[in-house]
Amino acid sequence: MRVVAATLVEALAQLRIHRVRVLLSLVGVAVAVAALTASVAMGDVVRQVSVESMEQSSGRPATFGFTVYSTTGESPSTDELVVEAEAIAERYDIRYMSPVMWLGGAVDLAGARTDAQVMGVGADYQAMHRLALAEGRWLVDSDAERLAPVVVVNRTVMDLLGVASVDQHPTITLPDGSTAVVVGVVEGAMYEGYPYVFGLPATALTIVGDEAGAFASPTIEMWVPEESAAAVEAMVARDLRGAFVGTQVDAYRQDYAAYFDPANDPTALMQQVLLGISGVVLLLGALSLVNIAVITVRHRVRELGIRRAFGASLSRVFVGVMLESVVGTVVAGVVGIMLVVLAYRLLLVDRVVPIGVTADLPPFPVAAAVVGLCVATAVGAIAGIIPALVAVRSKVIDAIRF
Amino acid sequence: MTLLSLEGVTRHVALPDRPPLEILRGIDLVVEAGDRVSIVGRSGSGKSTLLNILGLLDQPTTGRMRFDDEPVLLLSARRRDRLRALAVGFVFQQFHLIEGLTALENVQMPLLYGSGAHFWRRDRLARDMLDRVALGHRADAPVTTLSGGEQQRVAIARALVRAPRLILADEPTGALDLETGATIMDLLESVARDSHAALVTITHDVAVAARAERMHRLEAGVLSPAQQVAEVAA
Repeated sequence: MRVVAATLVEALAQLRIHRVRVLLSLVGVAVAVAALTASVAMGDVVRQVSVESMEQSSGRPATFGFTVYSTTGESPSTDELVVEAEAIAERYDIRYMSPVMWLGGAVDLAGARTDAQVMGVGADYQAMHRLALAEGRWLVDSDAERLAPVVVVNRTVMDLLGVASVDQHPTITLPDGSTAVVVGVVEGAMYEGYPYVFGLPATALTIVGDEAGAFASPTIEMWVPEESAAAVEAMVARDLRGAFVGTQVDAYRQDYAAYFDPANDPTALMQQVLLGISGVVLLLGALSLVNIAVITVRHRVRELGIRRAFGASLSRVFVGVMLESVVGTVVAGVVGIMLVVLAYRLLLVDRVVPIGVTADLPPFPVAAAVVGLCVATAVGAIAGIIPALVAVRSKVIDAIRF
Repeated sequence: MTLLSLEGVTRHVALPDRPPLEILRGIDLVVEAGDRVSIVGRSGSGKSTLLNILGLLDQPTTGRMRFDDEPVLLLSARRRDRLRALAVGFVFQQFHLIEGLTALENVQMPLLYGSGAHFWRRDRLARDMLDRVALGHRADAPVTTLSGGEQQRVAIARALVRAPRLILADEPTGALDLETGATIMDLLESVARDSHAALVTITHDVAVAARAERMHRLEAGVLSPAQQVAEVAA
């Protein structure tokens, strides 16, 4: 503890004495660490946004879809399916289950019939598909008991309704003349440009009326832990077949993780190119650092000799000189990382790489900062070895003679 | 109590295509705790080499040397560094202060290599030492802004801050004028006396040498005791 603290005190004092030299030699390192951190962060953010987009569309790992239909007779009704699916979910302790109905059709929006994507879903759908709300709330199970049905829409629907906020209590007129109250607004790249209306299955069916047709039969989605995915899939399919004898039960895993191949990740190539460029910049920065550090150590022979005369061991001199380099590069690294975080906060990232961040920017990836700091430390240690070796090879007697 | 003893110590330097250069020959010297010893010699007589050996910076080629009753030739480099850190303080002719640091930081420097108690109390110890050499008011001044006499006082404070048992002073007044030199020697002897440290002064100045209790003369690598100033000066 004492040795570490004393060596650190010594290193900081030396950095202070040679601050101009240190500053100049570390500019390259700071820039390189910033570039490296930005590359890692950019890759992570692009991947995260891409994953979130895929999760919005197909669910989080591991999400299964179950469809039950009859090729010869009548398929089970939505209510029957949902009741049975809830019983199965309770049996196997599956915490997230939602019916999903993709219903097209015209919706009455502010007096005008407009084509929209109407979706009949359960309360768990939001968590399962990582839906973000711009305002208001999502659907809850008790909404089924309300006299006035509720819906959640996207911003496009709000614009067509001519309202800015759910606080203005916007409504959608249903084919039977009643109204559905808009209680929430979803956001996200997937829900831009085309009207989306979400409601509990019964509400969704009411909205589209007779236009539901063959698509009225829902898919039952279940989100389960990945480690038990295969077993759960088999058990649920078996139970559904048992409950609806004579029907066809199809089970399939639908989330991105089931078909996403990391080897063909398009963001990985971009990240590798950026990392390569950063690596070259880092190498140049490190070479410049070594160059200046070696010259400086040669000019510090007398000072190192004095320290040796007062009891500094060879190992202490070695570690001291190396630590100066490490402390310097860590400080440069922190500065570089802070610059990147600042640029990120100012949303520059969205201008450089159009990743489709529309509302909340994902938090800056901590892993990128950690990588940057580790690289800065490693560069400092490696670049410090050569001057440290020069330092311990200088003879104390020669050093204090002149 | 014997602090340091040399018996038949030699120091040779190997030269390419020539016989080895004999810098020190058959040196016998005993330094007791609290002793005042001066060694006088001309340039090239081997004074610096002897100082380096006494301060454990260099090793004899042959002979026996004991420091604190430990055989120096058998000690590892790390152990010698440790012994030097704990027991030896140097005062150099050119002060050898570290530029860029303040007077206080220079005095603190040896405490970075001492014990934990020294390190954690380095600020207090260094300030007390600067007070003892009457430089407490210049503690935070960069050493480059100090006069020659002040710089040598900082160097003395640095040499004594760890309370070493052996102080090695190499031409401590060589870079100072006569009056400042006398003041510095008064200070060095006074502080050494208060610290119960042995003081070995290596000098070519007979007046400085005469202040010691025991005088030696080093000539062509041979050390011989001198009883009187005249002998030293001869």
